[in-house]
Amino acid sequence: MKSSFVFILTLIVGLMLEALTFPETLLWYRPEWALLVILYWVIALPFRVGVGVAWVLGLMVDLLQGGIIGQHSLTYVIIAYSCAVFYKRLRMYHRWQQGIFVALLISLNQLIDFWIDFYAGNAEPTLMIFMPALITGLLWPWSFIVLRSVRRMYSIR
Amino acid sequence: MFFEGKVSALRFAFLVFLSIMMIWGDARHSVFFPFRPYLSWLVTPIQIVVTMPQKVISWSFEHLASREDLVSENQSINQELLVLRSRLQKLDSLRAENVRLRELLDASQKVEEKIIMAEVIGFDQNAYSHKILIDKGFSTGAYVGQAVLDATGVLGQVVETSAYNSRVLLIADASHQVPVQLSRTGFRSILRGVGDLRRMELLSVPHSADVKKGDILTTSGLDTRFPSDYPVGVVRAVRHVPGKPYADVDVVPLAQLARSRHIMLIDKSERVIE
Repeated sequence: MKSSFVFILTLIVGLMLEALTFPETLLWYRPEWALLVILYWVIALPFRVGVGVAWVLGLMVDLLQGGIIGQHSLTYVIIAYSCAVFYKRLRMYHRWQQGIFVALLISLNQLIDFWIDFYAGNAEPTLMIFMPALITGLLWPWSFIVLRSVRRMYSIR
Repeated sequence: MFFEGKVSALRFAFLVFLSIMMIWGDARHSVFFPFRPYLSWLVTPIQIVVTMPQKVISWSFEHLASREDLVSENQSINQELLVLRSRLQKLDSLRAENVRLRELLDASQKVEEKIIMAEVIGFDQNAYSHKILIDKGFSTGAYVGQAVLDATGVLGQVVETSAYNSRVLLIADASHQVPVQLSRTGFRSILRGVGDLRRMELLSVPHSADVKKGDILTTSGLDTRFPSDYPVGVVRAVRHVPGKPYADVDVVPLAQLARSRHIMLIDKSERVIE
């Protein structure tokens, strides 16, 4: 009971970070907070957390940011699924290698995001779309450590 | 629940399909438009918690300010008030004269619009769209399509409301256009945002049109949303490129699109046109 409450709390913290306002000039350097959280849980508990949770979280992010509904749901589902397919291999990796993998996945996320924005008619092509992927990849080892200690402290299984 | 065999792949495919249908429906047909106010209830608690620290900080700045600061601020505001009052005196006589002249011409008469004050509490975290989040929702009378101004000019329009928040699309967003009029010549055109907060474009300006650097653009009121005669932008440069059918006119928005904190929503339903 308590463990599932803490689990939901981590997702809510991810959403809150997502809702936090970043300065206009640093907008391209914003990490994908919610993805950091969901990817950790997909790797740690692949039998409990999967595409369904990712979809719901994506929908919440869409509502929070007032974007196209379904945009983040789609990208989160794709990223969570690719992570779930590789979870055994990912657990073997060093944290930095995981970070590189996460950065690659988030590059894919950014690309799909860009396509959807382009389809909706409000995007200009720029290589800056890959900046969040880099930042999130660099943040991964730390978020991994934090979330792992949370998981162990409350023995979330 | 389990990522083994067909089940997860099927679920994945289903969710991807569902999301694509939602994107298509939302972007092309706005099917979620009527439900957004209710759906946003889901995230309202998160928004309230996230904007709390900012509100606490601004509240404490207001309430814990030092005496000297308050006195000096009070003085400067009083001076400004005096200047504005003297201008208003002139304006009153001008308004009376305007009404008389309009009566002579049998022209329509405008009544002032009702104003709702609001505060900016955030802006859109998508780098492609220029929207801001404000702290007034439909519970305080904000509605979709409402024009939004700041102290210096037109800021944008409300595109989404929930109970306590609204989203305002800025005039500089690439998907936004506003009908304008040159205050010097009365030349009408449409001002288009290009996705840059410091630059906008005037559409379809013939090479022969009398448009100069420094001209002020005001809303023309020919649309159904923006009330007329509010300043929007000032012309920065006019370029005539040989071979192009129209002149390139760069406009700088007058509103502080990136910086304003206190904004006004214009309630057009109060407006009376005789």
